[in-house]
Amino acid sequence: MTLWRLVPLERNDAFTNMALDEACLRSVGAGDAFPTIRFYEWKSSAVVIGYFQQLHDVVNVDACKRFDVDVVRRITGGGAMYLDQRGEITFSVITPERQLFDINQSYRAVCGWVIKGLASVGITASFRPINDIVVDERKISGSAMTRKFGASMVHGTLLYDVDPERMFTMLRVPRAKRADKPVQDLHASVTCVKEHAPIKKGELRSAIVEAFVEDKDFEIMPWSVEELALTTELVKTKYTQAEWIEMRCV
Amino acid sequence: MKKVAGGKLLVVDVDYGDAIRSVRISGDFFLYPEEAITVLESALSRLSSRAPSSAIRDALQKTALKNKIQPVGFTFDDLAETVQEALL
Repeated sequence: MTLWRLVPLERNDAFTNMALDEACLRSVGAGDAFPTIRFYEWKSSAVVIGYFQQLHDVVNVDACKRFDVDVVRRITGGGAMYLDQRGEITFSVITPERQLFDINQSYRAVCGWVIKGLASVGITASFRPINDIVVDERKISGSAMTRKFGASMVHGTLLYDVDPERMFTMLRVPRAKRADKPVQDLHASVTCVKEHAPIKKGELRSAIVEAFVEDKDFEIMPWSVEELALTTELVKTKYTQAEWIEMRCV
Repeated sequence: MKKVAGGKLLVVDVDYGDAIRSVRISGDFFLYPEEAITVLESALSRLSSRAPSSAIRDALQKTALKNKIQPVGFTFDDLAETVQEALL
């Protein structure tokens, strides 16, 4: 049975969180680390945009500055997400190439663990392809995937608590995207765990972690010295740099 | 700008005269490998600005096949139509 590394819960700024994902992807791909599951939080709230997005199309940069919300680009595609420092349970699953499923199966597998964890606290959720989890057609979790450096990563977030007004103050939603949402009201298109279950965040996290590691041989292990050094380098040279954050701007 | 079946958004910015000079494709879709988006953009920059949607699609598909590029959340028909709309 494959041995997995479960990295202890950590709280970092957005740049470090995204750099750790890349450092881990590289180390797992190189065979220097076990397949890894990590859960993490945000030292301050952040907007994380997808690899292909134009910053100013999808982020209200002025509002983010006003509210001290970090803005960073990730290495995966998909849409911009507002990640609240108190309201999120964020996770990454990184596996070597030999363990790869195809893309849709990977989303289904990881989202399946989230759905199982939600079921264990009494919430019935379902997978909405390509990369969302919904409760009564309202989004409660989104994820994104990449395959590079000899490894694969699915990372995503589960909304524990959400303030839609704050979320949509930071995010810009293009008109074409708003037009045919299942629920027309943008604020009502998202939901969170607190709306469906009277559970503390720590209890929810335990339930989700349990669902992720169920049926796996795992050990709680920290980052290696090399991964941390690479993370520091990536924060400095990539994730905090305008060249990266504004990469797709016209 | 086009929202495709499955809900992903494609945005195409194009600079053109008689021929396409440059293209920028953005949105909340997925593409593997991600860095290959610039390869697709370069492939389009060689086309006539009056090229039919089918020619744009064929150029995209040929480039994708050659470079093992896989779109997720949109098709090359979707992208070709969005490019052509940007050329109108």
